[in-house]
Amino acid sequence: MKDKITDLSEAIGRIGPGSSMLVGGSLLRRQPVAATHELIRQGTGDLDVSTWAASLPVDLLAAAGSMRAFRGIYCGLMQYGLAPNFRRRSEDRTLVVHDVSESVMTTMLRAAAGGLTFTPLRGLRGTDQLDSSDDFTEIQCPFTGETQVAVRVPRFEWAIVHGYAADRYGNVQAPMTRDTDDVDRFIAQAAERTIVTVERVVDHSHVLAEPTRTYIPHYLVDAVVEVPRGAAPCSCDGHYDHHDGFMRWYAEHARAGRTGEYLARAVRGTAEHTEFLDWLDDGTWEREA
Amino acid sequence: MSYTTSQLMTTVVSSLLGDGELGFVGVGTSGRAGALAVGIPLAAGRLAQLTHAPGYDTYWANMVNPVFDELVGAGWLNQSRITGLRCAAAPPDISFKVDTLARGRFGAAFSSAAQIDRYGNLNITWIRGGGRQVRLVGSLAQPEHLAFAKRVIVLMDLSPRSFVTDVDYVTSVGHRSRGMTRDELGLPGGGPTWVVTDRALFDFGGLGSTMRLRACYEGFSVDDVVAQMGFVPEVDDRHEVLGPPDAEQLRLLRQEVDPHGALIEGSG
Repeated sequence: MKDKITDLSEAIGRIGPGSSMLVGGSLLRRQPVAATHELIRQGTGDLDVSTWAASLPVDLLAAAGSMRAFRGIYCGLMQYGLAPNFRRRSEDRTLVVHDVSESVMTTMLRAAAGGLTFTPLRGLRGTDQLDSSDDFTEIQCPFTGETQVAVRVPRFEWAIVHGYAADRYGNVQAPMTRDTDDVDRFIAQAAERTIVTVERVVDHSHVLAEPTRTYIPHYLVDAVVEVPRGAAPCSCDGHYDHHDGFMRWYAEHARAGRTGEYLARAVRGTAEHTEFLDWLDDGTWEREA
Repeated sequence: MSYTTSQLMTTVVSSLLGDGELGFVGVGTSGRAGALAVGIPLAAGRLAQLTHAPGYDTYWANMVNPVFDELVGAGWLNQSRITGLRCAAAPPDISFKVDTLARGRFGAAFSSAAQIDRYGNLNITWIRGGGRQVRLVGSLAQPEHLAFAKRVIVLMDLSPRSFVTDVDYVTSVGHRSRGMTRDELGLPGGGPTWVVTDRALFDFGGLGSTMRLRACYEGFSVDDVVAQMGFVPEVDDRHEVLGPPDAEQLRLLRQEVDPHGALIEGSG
């Protein structure tokens, strides 16, 4: 096993402009916020982003103008409303949106994990998502003759995922009690290269003692970066909740078209995630209303 | 005894659930949208368990039969609350739920939408018209719920903007889309079977599997109901008047199922 430990700037610097990229997490949970901030700091643009249930990172990439296309089952801020920047870019058509439903995304990721070029699905005929992209075409089942939908499996060059703990080789482990409502494991399997930020790096002996907790094994991982609170202000189940006051503030400012100020102050105006966390914790943003 | 519209809707939904049935409820948001999509279905399931359907099961998010009493109360959408919920099973990832759905193992699924048409086609993705488009949440698993669940209970407030002649975008297929029936489209599930609103209850027993009025809630006439719709549903002489919830249902809702109104009033 190779040592994969690096810093965020170096890891994210590997992702070139124009890359196709999977972003892990689901809704407000385990979103790779620190990694997304670093993409924006580095000005990596023209990204083709695919997700499960997207939230803050995709709204930030939309605000920063870093994204040319989006694929996902959802993009919003959960109880804080829709994602205002994503919304604006979708509505004015400066962002291409490929709508997919849950069976499409899980099947697409699992097919990519298994090296398939397409995969059949049932139950989608008659829906307008079939017209929302070139991901779909109709086929006949060669065995039953039933008309089904063939789903194209795209190439996913990169994945960024926020995990709980990993050893220095990239064996990413989950706690026994966690929220399993996501597909991070398949995201890592589907991508050609995966960058993982984790709450903490643990000794390899911890992994050896409880291997069934490893949901992403090291050979799928290209870089491991220890980033405590790397999902904040979103949540990391078992570690911390999302920041309610900040998410309210963010949603209000985003609706008012003021996310640029956030990017200038808290993202481009900080060198690393610890500086962002200091700003988040000191609460000055509340007075910057 | 006074009651809220949400309490009445919860008892109506509860009455539709069967003993031994596996119901799916998605993860939701707060406010009225969250109450319709998540809070009322969860509370209705619990009420059914406490009354006529003790063996009713709930699959919520990626948890099978979460311990309901640990779920209720303010702050129920906080991650630490969700992470700490005890349940019968927490499958390793969400594809497990999607597979459960596509295999047709969910007896009842609950949906809500920005738009519905007379065939029960639903839209949660785009509102379009007059050269403008307004982005909504996406697709989630709603297309699969309408395709595969044995039956889908739709919860929406009546409004001419929501009950429309044609949905702007077919996120999910009801009983007819693009001129084709569910059979012709190869959709194995039951599709939308009930629409529970704030004034009336509908099924799809109308001509060509279109929306049909089954009951007006007490205090609302047929005209009151139809005035809030952008199309006229089938109205035959079999529709009933649905009276208020009985005292025991209200007591259970207020004292045991949702004492803070966090679920059904969308205040969580």
